[in-house]
Amino acid sequence: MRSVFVCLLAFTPLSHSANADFSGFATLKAVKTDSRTAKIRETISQPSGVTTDELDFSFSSIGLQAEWKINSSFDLVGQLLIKDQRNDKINNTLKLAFLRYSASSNWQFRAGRTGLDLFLMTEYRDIGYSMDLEHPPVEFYAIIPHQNLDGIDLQYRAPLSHGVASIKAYWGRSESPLYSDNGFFWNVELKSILGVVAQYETLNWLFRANYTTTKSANEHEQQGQLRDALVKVPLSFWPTKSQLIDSLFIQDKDFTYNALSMRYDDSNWLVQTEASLTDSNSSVLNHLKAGYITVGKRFDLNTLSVSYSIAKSDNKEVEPGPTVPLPELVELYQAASMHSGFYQLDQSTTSLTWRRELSATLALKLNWQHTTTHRLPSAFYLHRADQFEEPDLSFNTFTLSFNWVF
Amino acid sequence: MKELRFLLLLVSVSPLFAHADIAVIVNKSNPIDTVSQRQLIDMYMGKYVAFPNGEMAVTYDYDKSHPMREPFFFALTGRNESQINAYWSRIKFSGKVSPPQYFSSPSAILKNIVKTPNAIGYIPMELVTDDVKVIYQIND
Repeated sequence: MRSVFVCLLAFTPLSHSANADFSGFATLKAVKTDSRTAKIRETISQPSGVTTDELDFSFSSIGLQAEWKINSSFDLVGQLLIKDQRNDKINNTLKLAFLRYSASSNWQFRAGRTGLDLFLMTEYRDIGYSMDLEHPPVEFYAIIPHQNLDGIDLQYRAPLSHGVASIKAYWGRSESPLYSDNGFFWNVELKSILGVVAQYETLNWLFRANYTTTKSANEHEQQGQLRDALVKVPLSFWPTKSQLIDSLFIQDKDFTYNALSMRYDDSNWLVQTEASLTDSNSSVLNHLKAGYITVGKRFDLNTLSVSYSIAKSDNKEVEPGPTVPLPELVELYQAASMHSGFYQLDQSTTSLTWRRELSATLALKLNWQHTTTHRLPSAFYLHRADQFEEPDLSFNTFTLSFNWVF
Repeated sequence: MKELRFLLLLVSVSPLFAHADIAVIVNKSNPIDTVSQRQLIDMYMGKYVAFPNGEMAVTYDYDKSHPMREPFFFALTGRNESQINAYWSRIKFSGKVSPPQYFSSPSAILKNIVKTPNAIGYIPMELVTDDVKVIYQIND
């Protein structure tokens, strides 16, 4: 994959012409929260979160894109996204590197690293300028770290009487970092990703439906270690351990993502909503339902929008712990619970955003959001271990950002 | 006279463009004589980049913040340039659509449309020459 981009970069200096296009986007963001317990972040692939006693700028990012038109049918596209990352930085910085073949005005084929067209904003969720919201709703977007697909896609578009309909199928694999408490890091690999997106859009309306299925391609080494440790515990000490062991088998489990999306934007009023159901044949993730709705109104160069988002899973409580409370077993139970209970989510957020166009390519956004969660620790956030005895289940987050395209 | 027109083009005085009638032009050999507003929107918003006969189109546009862009897109879509840029940042940076080719002046667009059979662009009406065909007109 990297070699594709290296080729792209090697070619681009040769083409100082209308055939080459260089552009980019950037976000400078400051985040503040009043949560004593949760370290706020926007996605589970963020290695750090902001705590109550700090003003954090680590949510900022800059992206650079090069696009080279080889001829009327072929394009090469590469994109780098530089943001706060800890592991495998080069691979995670490379966001796009693909060859696009436009066979006709109807058919388009892409191969390489493309965006993962999972939900409406998945592919552009790092581009602050592109959206009226300050950032994609945490409850809907944060739990799925994957944004890219190493594979192929094929799209067909057709103009209809009032709009354009399209259908796209994609296949490939993906990997993304996932961070959790106590320095936990896992490069989550998905294989056999197979998805289809149907979309219909007019100038003002957009409707889309997505179905994607995939398999987990790897597991974290801790999961194997925990299984091995649990096997050695006598059943009389821990009668429910087999269910816990079973939940720690992640590799080759099936995951499915279903989403319906709608957007209306007549340049004065904006309505955007999505609903999703994420499921698997693993007891770790059971019917995770998420949704949000945003309503916005534009006043000249200002946009005010209010958003409500929610996520709730049907996961049962993690199986009971050992009946014999030996310190080693309690510690083992806590570690296993972190894995098995990762997708136990029940949270909602109300958000208010003011966007101001400072120029045709620069926007300021100010956001307040109030989050209520029925469970901490939450997979969405990192947590302060020192404040864990009394988690605050309701907190506010404030964000100020400058968003450019160039 | 022709030279004088090109001199005017090169000067590129913003207010001139901001209040001029706009002509959407194609190569003279293009068989298309007219397009609808919706077809133009589909082309310039990257939704379906083709002429009414289904032939692929190459869209020409101006660099960001060029004074021609705001009146053109506002007349076409009712959206200001910020909204257009936000829209394009969604589809361009997600790699969905190849963006238009960008030029710095009407003269550059005119020159390239004369050379490119499937290109489409827009320039001030008073700068149209006999070398190109007008397929849509936006009146001030």
